[in-house]
Amino acid sequence: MGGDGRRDLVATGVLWVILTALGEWAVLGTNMLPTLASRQGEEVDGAFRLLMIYSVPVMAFVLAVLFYSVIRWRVEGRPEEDGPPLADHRGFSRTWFFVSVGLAALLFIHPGVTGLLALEREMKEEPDLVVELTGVQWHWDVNFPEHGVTLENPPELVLPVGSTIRFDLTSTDVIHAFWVPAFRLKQDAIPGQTNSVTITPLETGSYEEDDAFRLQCAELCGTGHARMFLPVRVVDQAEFEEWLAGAGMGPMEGMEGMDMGDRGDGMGMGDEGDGMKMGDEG
Amino acid sequence: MTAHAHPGYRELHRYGLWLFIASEAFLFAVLLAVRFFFTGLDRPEALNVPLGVVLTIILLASSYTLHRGEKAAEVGDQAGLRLGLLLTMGLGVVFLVIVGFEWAAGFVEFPASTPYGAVFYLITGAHALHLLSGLLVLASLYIQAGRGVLDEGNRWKVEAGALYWHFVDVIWLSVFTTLYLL
Amino acid sequence: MATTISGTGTPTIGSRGLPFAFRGLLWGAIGFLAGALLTAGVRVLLGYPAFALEPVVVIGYVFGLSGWFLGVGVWETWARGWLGRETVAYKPDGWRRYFGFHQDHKVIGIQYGVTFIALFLIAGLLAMFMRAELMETGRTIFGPAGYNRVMSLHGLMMVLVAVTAVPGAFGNYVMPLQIGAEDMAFPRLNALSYWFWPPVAILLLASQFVGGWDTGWTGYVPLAVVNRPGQLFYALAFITAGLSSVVAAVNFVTTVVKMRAPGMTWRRVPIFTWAILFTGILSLLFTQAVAVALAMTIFDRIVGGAFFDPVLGGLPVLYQHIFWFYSHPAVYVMVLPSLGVLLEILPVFSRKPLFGYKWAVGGIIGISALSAVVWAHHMFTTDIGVTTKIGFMLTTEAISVPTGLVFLSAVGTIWRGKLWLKTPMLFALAIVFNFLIGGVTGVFLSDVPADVQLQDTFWVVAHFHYTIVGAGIFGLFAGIYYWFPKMTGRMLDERLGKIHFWMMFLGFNLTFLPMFWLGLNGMNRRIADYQPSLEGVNTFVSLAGFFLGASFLFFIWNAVVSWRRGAPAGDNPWGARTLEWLTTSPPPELNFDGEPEVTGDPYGYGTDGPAHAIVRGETGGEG
Ligand code: HEA
Ligand code: HEA
Ligand code: CUA
Ligand SMILES: [Cu+2]
Repeated sequence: MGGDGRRDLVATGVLWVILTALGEWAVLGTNMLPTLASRQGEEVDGAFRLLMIYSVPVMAFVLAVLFYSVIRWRVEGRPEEDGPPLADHRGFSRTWFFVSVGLAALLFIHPGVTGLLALEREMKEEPDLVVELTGVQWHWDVNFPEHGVTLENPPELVLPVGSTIRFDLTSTDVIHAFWVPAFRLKQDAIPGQTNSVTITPLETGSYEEDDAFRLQCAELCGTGHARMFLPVRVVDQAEFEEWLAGAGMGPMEGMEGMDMGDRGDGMGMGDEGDGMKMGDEG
Repeated sequence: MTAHAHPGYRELHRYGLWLFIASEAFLFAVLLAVRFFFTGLDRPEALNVPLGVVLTIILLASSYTLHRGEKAAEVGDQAGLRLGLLLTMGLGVVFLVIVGFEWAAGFVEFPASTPYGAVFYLITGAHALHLLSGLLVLASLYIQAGRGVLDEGNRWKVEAGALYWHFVDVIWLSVFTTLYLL
Repeated sequence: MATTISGTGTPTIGSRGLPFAFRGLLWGAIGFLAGALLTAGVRVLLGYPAFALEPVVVIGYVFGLSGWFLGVGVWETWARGWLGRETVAYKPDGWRRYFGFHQDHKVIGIQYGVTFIALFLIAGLLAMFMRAELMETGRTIFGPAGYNRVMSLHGLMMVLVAVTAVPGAFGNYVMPLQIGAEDMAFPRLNALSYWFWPPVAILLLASQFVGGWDTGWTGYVPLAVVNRPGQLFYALAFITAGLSSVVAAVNFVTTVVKMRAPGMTWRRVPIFTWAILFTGILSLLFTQAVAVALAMTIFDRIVGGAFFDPVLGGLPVLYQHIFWFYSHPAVYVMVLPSLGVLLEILPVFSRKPLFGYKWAVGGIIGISALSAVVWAHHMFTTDIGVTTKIGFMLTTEAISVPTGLVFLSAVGTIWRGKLWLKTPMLFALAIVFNFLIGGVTGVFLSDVPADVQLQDTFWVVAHFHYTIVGAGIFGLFAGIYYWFPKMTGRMLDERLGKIHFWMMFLGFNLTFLPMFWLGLNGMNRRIADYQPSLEGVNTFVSLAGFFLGASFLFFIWNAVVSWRRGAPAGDNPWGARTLEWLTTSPPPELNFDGEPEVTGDPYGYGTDGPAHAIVRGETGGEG
């Protein structure tokens, strides 16, 4: 039983290294994230990847001890005798404590503060285009103040690639939230105040090809919350202007059947809501 | 004799009550914080500050009468205790009545549909509810004193009721300061 | 009405006739009607129409609650004393004990345990319906409105289960035994804290008859102000639950501080008791905040207040600050007791001292202290300002350090032990695994740049199921398998226990691990329907969820059968050293047939130090 347990330490260490290597291989080798289409989103993905890389050895360490102990020291039936009286090990406990303080500090500084400050800088950047978005139960109203175009409950939102867009968000009723998974950033649309988020789309794309291109309401806002999303299409500047000119004319075809159920009655379980299906509109 | 050693009821109850008071203090701390969140340091002109002073004096007086009652109880003077309780309850009721009038006037000047109004009624309402429960405790003590059951072994009941009442008074002081003075 | 226990001369009640719980329902209904009529009367006097649902319900409820309490036995056992009259004891035998205002902490512990397992199963069944809806895109069983209601009910019920089950069942049953006390400091308050729960359950049920509510468990405004009346029931239920927590917390803290047996210095207090102490402190202080947030919601609903209506100058975000000021500490209320159970079990089944006892206690204290200052990490997307974000990111990430100390203690304890893998130990080891995943994914959320993508997605859903279920509920079951023999005198069946464990462990991980991916890939929370590209993974998750749900059938079967016919347990089936194992199973009325005295370390396995405690003399409970 290896007297001082040095062999156990070495074996656990090896297991830790193996688990870490496997974990890092999995983390670095796969992309778990959806399409990224904005410049600001790079900050987000960078932070996420870094956190993944950091967390692998931490988790691997705990798991290595856990797995090794269970395999190595399990006994069949009631143990005849007690284990060694190891009530503490100063060096180990202190090391653990200071390493975890160090890790937490590291995470806090980078990607935490650095990423946050980088994002904040991006948010302050002078926009090429301002888009006012108003959340209404349960759709988005879109206004392009510089172009004098107002769209009530439009069937899609078209944005120009490469320009820096500031979205000014508010709501007329309850809290909604702005979230385009392909752009990464999320910001609440709160009645009575205007929050902004600045985004520079870098890739063209559309909801039809990739559902990460949608403006999804990401704050529970009542019955229609699930379907409160607006397909997003990122196009080049010319096409955008063309669309905008067309959109300024006449009424857009609204999304029928978006207002699901009426929040007033609501007796019984399976009452309201049509047999809806995602993705069959627009 | 029980087989177990632990402190007497008096000590236990005193400790438990202090914990409860700590908890209640948090309640009012949150409530008072809400006021600053909402209206900063603004308050309506129409707020009747002299009336607030009167309310404060009434409550301070009630703490005094209760203290007298408690002192009487310590020397076994049941009549003195009852008198103290009765006076305290009387002052408490007067306090609530005045608050009622103040509310009635306030509804016109700063209704609940204004930020200050909402804060005012919520906080003074919460305080009034606590005062009301304090009154029920004192009433119970009054009845018990009348039946002569507040003997040596039950003295902690008087102590507890009084402590709670004083606490509600102290809360009033902070409510008064935050709502009327700041 | 009062009969007498033979020989003692103490008058008691409740031994015959209708169980008191039914009388409570009746008196409660009468109280409700009285309150409702009173409200209607006052309204008429003030010149309003007599009937308005919400004011009538609120006042009626206050009266109904009082009636309910008097009816279940407060009147005879307590309230008569307020009028200077004699009180009597509620001490029937057999099953009747559980249906009235019984004050023995062991009875109350079992009441809590059974009630909360039942609530857990019901809320779990709701989750099964949710997973059925999410099995495929489009409408499967209830559509959006029904889904939101069921989701909200699942969320709130489970949160209540998570904050209450372990402290309620084991904090009550085991903690006084562990510290060698004859009961809790305030037995009547203890009973009171339990009897708050049936009204909570009734409110949740009743809410479904007025349309339920659909804000999730968080009740964000302004939605919660403009919503249908079910929202009011949500608020009342939550406030009532909070009252129960405060009452229970006063009791727990006083008991731990004041009722410890001679010799039990702070360094000899078992770790589970430490966890309960700090759970108590957290509930005691922070629960008040949620009451304020909900009271403000009710205020706005009933008198048209200005708190949350921006048109009137209200501040919707303020609700979130107050709500999370409570609800973040509440997540540690959910997990600390289970971490206590974890660290209690590991030494016994590793036959080693608890590693780094001081560090573990420090961890619990550190978590509790920090938990007060992290709340805004739930609000990173509400535009709270850069400095605020940085501050809360710092505190939130700091909390992984004390939490890590619990892990230090856990891995140190199993290292080189003699691991006896009985069911309680399996559950304990699973907590280490699950909570590691839950905790580390929480750190992702605390990082603002990552959180702006992850907030309000299934990543969060996965994170909190890994913490609440993976640690909290696994801890509940670890505790059940560990202490069931003490509470019933019988062993649970080991084979069924192992089947339950493996199904639950695998089912749990298969259900919730894929949810991280879902969240990353654009599945937001609280939706009845999702993008078609996510369907495959969702179907898998649902099937795994059903497998997980099925595991509990084995548990129910095991518990019911073993309670009546399980193998006799004896006093100390696991060979543990803490005080609860030094008395009979189940313990006698005043817990020990003698006077416990603490003489050593609670976890001195393998050392030749003195025993943790001895029970001296045979004075007998009643002398
Ligand atoms: C039992 C319940 C529980 C517990 C214990 C936790 C623990 C933690 N939680 Fe979680 N959380 C919830 C329940 C819980 N949470 C719930 C219910 C929600 C959603 C509410 C809702 O919106 O409905 C939520 C949401 C939530 C959010 C908001 C997400 C959002 O909506 O945007 C955040 C953000 O910071 C967060 C962070 C954390 C952190 C950092 C911890 C930490 O305490 C974790 C610490 C543990 C570890 C880190 C692992 C072990 C440590 C080591 C091995 C040491 C070394 C490690 C390092 C130094 C990194 N949680
Ligand atoms: C203790 C806390 C707890 C527990 C144990 C669970 C358990 C489960 N939860 Fe839940 N969950 C929450 C707390 C919890 N949850 C919270 C707080 C929310 C957030 C709500 C909100 O957003 O506001 C949530 C939300 C939530 C969602 C997200 C909804 C959404 O955002 O759209 C989902 C989706 O899959 C889910 C699934 C599950 C599943 C599959 C289980 C499974 O583990 C359940 C296991 C199954 C059972 C326990 C059933 C066993 C039943 C039987 C065997 C039949 C016998 C029954 C009787 C006799 C009555 N939960
Ligand atoms: Cu709008 Cu959700
Ligand atoms: Cu939190």
